[in-house]
Amino acid sequence: MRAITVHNVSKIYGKGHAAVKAVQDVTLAIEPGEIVLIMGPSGSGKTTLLSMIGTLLRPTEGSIVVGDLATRSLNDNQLADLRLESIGFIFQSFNLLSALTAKQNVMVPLIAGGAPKREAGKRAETLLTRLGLGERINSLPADLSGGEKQRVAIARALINEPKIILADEPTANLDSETGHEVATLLCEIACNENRAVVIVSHDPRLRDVAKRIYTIEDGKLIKEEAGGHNKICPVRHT
Amino acid sequence: MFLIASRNLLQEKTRLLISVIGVAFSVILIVFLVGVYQGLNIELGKYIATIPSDLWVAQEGSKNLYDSTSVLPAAAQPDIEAVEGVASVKPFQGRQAAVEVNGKEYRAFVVATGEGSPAQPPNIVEGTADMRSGEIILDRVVTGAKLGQEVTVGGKPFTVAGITEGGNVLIVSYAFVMAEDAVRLFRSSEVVNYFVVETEDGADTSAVAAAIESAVPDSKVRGVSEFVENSISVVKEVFLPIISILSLIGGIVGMTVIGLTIYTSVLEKRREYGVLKALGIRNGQLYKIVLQQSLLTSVLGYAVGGLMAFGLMSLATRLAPAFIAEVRPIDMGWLFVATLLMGGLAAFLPARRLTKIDPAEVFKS
Repeated sequence: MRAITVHNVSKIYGKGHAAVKAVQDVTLAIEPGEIVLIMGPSGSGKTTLLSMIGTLLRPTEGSIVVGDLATRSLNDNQLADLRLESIGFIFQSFNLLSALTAKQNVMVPLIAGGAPKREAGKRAETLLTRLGLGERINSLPADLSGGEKQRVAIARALINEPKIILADEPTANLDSETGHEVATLLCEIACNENRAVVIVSHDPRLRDVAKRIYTIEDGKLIKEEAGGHNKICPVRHT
Repeated sequence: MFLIASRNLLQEKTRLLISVIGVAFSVILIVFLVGVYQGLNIELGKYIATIPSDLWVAQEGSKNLYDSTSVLPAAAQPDIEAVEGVASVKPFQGRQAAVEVNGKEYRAFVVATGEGSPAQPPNIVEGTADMRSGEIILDRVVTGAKLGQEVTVGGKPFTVAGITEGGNVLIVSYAFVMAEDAVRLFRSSEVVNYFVVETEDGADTSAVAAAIESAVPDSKVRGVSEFVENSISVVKEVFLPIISILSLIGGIVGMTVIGLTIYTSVLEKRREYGVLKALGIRNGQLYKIVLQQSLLTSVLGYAVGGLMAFGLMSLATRLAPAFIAEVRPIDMGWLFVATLLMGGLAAFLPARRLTKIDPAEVFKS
């Protein structure tokens, strides 16, 4: 089963003469374990497309299927449940909750899904330790470096074991070394854990992370090419 | 979600402090108002209840001791004594009068005491209850009154023989004079204000009351509890509407303070709420976070306000003996419920604001 199927999707903002077509007639499919990079200049519609794939925006036309679930017919609560269970988000500016510690930030999706606080805490600690943040679990976001914040955000995206990870400019606010670490981590997430990873970015370094690269301009997918995934992925591909 | 609510509150300690103080002041205001109301309710009837009586005979149309004057012929006493089931009858003389102390006037309810009168001064703290003609007993709230001092009542001089405590209930302060002085003062040698009746054991008080009303024209006989209740009703009629309105204003002020601070917090954290929405937290769960913040603030405000109110009341009673307040546990109980309600309503607008947050905004850097 495909992880994501986007079929003839368009998004139009405004009406009449003021209407702006942010995304036009986009069709793509993403398999489990695949890393797809969507590139394009600012205002090309890549973030709008990512928002629609993440069910944060409803398409004006077309359909998006997550797993085997057509999202068009779902109401807001059903979409929220779908995001909680099946989609993990990684943001450019990390978007951690400032009042919560690293561990508490990671616990949020679990608690929202009804997990007991103690169990959520244990799982968050385990995951943060796996991502190299074992010493920082009780730190507030303000006390973490950019790379640490992004790893906390990745842990939060992974904690519910979603089938899909959507990453918006995940390396934009990081130095090159930390950016490389995050890119490698995304490789592992896709290849080791068979999750579909969709990355939206300007960062050319991520071309070597992706299996497929789409270029979007003026809301249209204009090019599809293979990425250099096998060159850097630490996971041995047979 | 309680985790997020509590952490959000603690993150902005100044804002939390402002909200808690706002709620605390509302609670203090309401506790004081309710305390004064209950204090008056309890104290106003307390003295009447100490007078040994089963029935109070009043002039028809006079409902209680304070807001209507009753005048009955003194000659009616033998007629009442003759009614079957009556054990004893005593005339009660008491009227409002101005007492002038050191050039300052106080409103007092001057009661006749001494032999043959059912009324006795409550709790003498200075001087004596055993006074003579020309002497008066005042409550200690009558500022400046000292033993041996001369005061005037209705233009007639009296010497202070005793000071009582608990003879003041804010709207009236009891003063006691000898019965013969009361007759001179009120020019009432042939009339009394009430007859206080004790019935024989086992007597049917309703039947006795009906018989007295037949025996004394233009009279109305009430059981002691009804008479006390009627006297307290003055407080209900006069003070309850004012206290209710002021309490409501207090509640609205508290609600506004919480509502505004939580609303500001929601606006400031709109991006974080957007992130929560994006992660898959339902609107209902977000409302819960805001509601929990609001309720936590309310509970803290209630606790702080309640403690401060009791401290201030104790101080007020010491500094101003005329201040009477009585707060019952049940009053604190309903005030707690009202505070929670206040917090719940205060969360309404901030919660509505949450629905307008677009989760897709989280992708904007």
